[in-house]
Amino acid sequence: MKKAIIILYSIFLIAFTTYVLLNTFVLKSDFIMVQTNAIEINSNIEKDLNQEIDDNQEQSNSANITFNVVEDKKIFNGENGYLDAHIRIDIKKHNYANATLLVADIKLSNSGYLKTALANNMYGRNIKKATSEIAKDVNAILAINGDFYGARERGYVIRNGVVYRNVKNNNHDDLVIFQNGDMEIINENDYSAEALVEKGVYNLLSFGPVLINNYDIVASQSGEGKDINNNPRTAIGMIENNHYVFVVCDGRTRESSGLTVYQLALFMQTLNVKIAYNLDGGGSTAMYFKGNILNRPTTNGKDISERSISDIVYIGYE
Amino acid sequence: MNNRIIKYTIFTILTLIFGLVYEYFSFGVISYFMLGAFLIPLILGIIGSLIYKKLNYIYDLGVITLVIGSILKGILDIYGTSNYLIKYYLIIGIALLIIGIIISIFDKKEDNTIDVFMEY
Repeated sequence: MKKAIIILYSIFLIAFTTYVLLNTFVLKSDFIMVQTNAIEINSNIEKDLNQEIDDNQEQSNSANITFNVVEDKKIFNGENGYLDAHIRIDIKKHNYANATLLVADIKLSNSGYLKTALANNMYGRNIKKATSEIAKDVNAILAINGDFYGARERGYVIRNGVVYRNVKNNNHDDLVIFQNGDMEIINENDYSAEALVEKGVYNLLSFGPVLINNYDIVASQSGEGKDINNNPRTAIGMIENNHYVFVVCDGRTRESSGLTVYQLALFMQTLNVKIAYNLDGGGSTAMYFKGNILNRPTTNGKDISERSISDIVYIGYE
Repeated sequence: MNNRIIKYTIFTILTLIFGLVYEYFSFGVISYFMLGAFLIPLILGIIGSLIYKKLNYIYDLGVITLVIGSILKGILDIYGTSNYLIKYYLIIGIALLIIGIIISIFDKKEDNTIDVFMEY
């Protein structure tokens, strides 16, 4: 009898543990198809970039960048940049504190071109895809990994004006992006998800910590282990309305050891950002640009390959 | 009883080694559930057995359940995720500990302890 109890309980424990692992990492659940409250792009308020386009054509000629045939929207197309009437992207490589970083400087004529997308166009746990694949699905010009909401059970999820999760993550600071392109840091204790949408929040990213707020570094030099150790990092920042930066830092390799969160904040400050926010890092860190992954994403420091993630932040038309 | 303490000592050491090795490869992410899992067999197993000699197999199953739950919580913490199901390890583990103690108090047999570890 006692032996039977031990054997039966052991089987139960193994089965339950297996189910917990599958539920955590494999089984898809709570999925909802993506809905869109798309921002109407009002061409009447778009900034005129024509003069800037002429200036850049002159610069790019001297920098020996390849021009593509002029198409409907594309006027300039280089290896490290993109320019048309509505979107300008300049990407530069930096070396900082034994780490390699890529900074994409983004200027938009309208904030509606700053978007987010979910893997497989679906919200849910374990709905995952590589950054590059999600980016290709939405024809993104530039993309970075998002906040990997699917790895957590709490924290608001607001994408493109729709609330997918309103379960509060107590005292957690999030980055909100308004319909007019402005960014702000909010604490989930102060607002419900629905109240944020009513306030005009269009996208919300919930990972953290906050790196810079109102031009001041607010990231701590102490904190959790992953924050105070060198790791790959992804960050998003705003210099001013419709002028943003996407930053990725490679790590866990001999060529690039990565940064602590505080070092990342110090670097972001050199970009003159008003607000900067840390997104999911580690093996999730990836920057996609016109069909290619530009950085070296890695989880274990040996294999260079993208991790499958829940969501991206991107620049594009669709 | 000596066998029980020896086996809990081995269990404690193995849990400690597992926790340290897992943390070593976790790129600086620290989980106190992973690092501290060895304290469960140490306190509830070794010290518990020294304090109360009549602990039985139901109690042992409770200790094993709590250790597995703590390690699993550590794995999830290090990955950066969570799962509401983890709390059931704590509930079931404590329940088994209590049931094991109650049974041992009311069990009048001289030797009511089938050592869980001796079964394997």
